[in-house]
Amino acid sequence: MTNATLPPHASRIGNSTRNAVVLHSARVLAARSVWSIFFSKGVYILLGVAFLSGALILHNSLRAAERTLIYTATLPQIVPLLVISFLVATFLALLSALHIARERDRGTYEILLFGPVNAAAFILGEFLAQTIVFGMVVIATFVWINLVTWLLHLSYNLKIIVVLLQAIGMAAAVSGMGILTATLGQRTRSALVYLTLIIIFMVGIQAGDDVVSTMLAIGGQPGQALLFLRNALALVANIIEWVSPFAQMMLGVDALTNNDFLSVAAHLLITITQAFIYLSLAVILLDRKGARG
Amino acid sequence: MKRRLLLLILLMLLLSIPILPARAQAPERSEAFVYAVTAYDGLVYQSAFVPPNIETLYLMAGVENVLAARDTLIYFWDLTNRYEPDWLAKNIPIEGTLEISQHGKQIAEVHPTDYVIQYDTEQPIETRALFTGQAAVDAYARFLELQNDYRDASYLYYTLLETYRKVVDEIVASGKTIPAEDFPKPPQPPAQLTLYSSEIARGYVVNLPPGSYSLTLRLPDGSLVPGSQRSLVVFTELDEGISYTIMPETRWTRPDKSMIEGSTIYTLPDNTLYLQPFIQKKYNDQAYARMLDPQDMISRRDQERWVTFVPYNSASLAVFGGEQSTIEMEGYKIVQLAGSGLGYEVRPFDPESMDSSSFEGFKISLTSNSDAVNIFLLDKNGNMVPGSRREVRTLYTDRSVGLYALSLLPILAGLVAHFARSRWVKRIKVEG
Repeated sequence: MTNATLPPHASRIGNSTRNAVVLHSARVLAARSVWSIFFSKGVYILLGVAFLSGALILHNSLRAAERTLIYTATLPQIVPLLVISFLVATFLALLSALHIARERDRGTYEILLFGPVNAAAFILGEFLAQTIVFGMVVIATFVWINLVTWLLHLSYNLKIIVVLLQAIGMAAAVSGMGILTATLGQRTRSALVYLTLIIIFMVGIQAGDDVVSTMLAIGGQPGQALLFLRNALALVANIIEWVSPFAQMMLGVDALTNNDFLSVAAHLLITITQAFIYLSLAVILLDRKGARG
Repeated sequence: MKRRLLLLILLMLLLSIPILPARAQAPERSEAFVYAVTAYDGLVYQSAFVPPNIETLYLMAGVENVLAARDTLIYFWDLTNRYEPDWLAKNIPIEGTLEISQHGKQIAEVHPTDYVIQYDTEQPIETRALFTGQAAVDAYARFLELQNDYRDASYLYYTLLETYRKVVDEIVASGKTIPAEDFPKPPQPPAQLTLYSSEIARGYVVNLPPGSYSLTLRLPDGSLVPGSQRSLVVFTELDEGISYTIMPETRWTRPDKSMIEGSTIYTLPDNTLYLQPFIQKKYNDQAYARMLDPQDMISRRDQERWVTFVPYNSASLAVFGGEQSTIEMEGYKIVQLAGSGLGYEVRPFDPESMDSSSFEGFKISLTSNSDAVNIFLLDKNGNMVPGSRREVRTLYTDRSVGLYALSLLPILAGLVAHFARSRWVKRIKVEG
């Protein structure tokens, strides 16, 4: 953040007052975005679809148990939780990218800069809004998962709360990624396209790596081409996991399943660091580009 | 002219046909220095072959493993994408000094020695032993002695059995009635020889702590054997615990496994399960796989695997929930139902009327009164066996409609928010 982007009167005030102004502006912008999302249909429809997907996964497990008479799992609720978190976090990231890009596109951001708003307050406001909305979704998911646990007589474990905490970290990082992409893209459409492609690439590599590894594990003697593909995918996936909040979430859940709580904390820390880096980069970029950049 | 032209075209056509390589039935063999590894896999010793293209060997830490250096012929087998040794064509042991280094500093020199692996086949883990040097010679001599004793005892047994049969035949032929206590007793067969022993072989016995090392073989003349330099990764288990094989009573041929401590075993109401505990250890996937097969390409360095070993027999099962109880392991026999239809019954093993049990395990029945129990193993001293805790629960599979109904709650919340906003917007009055 530089003084050049702060409102004219800000250069005459102290650091603590300036931070207070930035935080206040961020809170006002966040509240505006939260109400906007809260009264839009999209988030409810998406949450309904996410819950239905989770229900479908659990129903599948029930069907399997009916056939085999046994079903062993550490926590059957984890996969539905992952699906719900991924869907909602991606939706909110797209929404944050849309908000940021549209405000710049329409010139609203430029008008905001005439008030007590700078790039940091603008980005922080959007980020806070997405995190608050995701927090509310997490509360709704927590209620849903408890009802489902009671309904089906599933085992309950405090690990569910840890997964939800991991989901908040993941959503924060995905939201940061969306905001960064929006500051990179010139137009709303290009920002959304970039973000969609990045998410597809990250999740696709991860899924491809898992699928090819599973094929190799069950397929007997592998061909050289498949081995090469697996090694290439594994290499790319290993690099991507440092920047992908989705990969960190998966690794964290794996560690949780194996009762490796130190790794869980490490992956959560990496996710929070990702969010911080994405947001800091977004602020720096927006600062440099300015309102019309 | 025309004829010449035709001949020329024909010749060109013949030349244009690609020359197909002759398909050799036997792939080409080449001389190579290889390591033959006898590695302890946590239960028994297994042999593996390390061709020159494999740069890293994997061994378990804290146990004696054997490396043997060989000059042999190898060939590439296309069908499996692997190098294979032709031991019969050439198998010359190379004796020298195996130098082991870590961080560029030599930490050990290993000289070849005689070795023998022995264990009782009924208790392979507890009785596994690798004898080296003179102890190997003595152990093998003892094994041969036991083998000879067993052979002599078997010979004597069959001789006595022959005599016994003759005596019984004579009694039957005579038609006499003999009181049961006077009837000749059959001879008892000798106890089975359950000791397994490998033959005496020579190799470099290696027992190292976990870490990364490098290996090289130096000949007695001081020169290094070309191709003998390899990396060595010595690894240890990451965790250990208990896995359960779970068999539903009505589906005992299709068991499932529970590998992770704290996981839940779900079943349907009023179902009976039989649980068999096994000792298991967790290893790095790639290290374990490449110890068993150095040419493995499937395993992954970033994955872990549980390896199940022998049954954990000397334990009882503590059950909590509903009523607290301790269940002892019992034998069960699968008895086919009489009649032409398919079907079977699991019955407790009765040594008086049954030859042998089909399996041994802990029986758990969940009822409507007790639909969730916690279980763990107790060792001989009554202490909980680490890694053995599980939960067994009944699953209500008939409530899937409720599951979908719950998923519609966000849509209802959205409708409420929509109507609330509409009412709120209608109340706004625009002045002027």
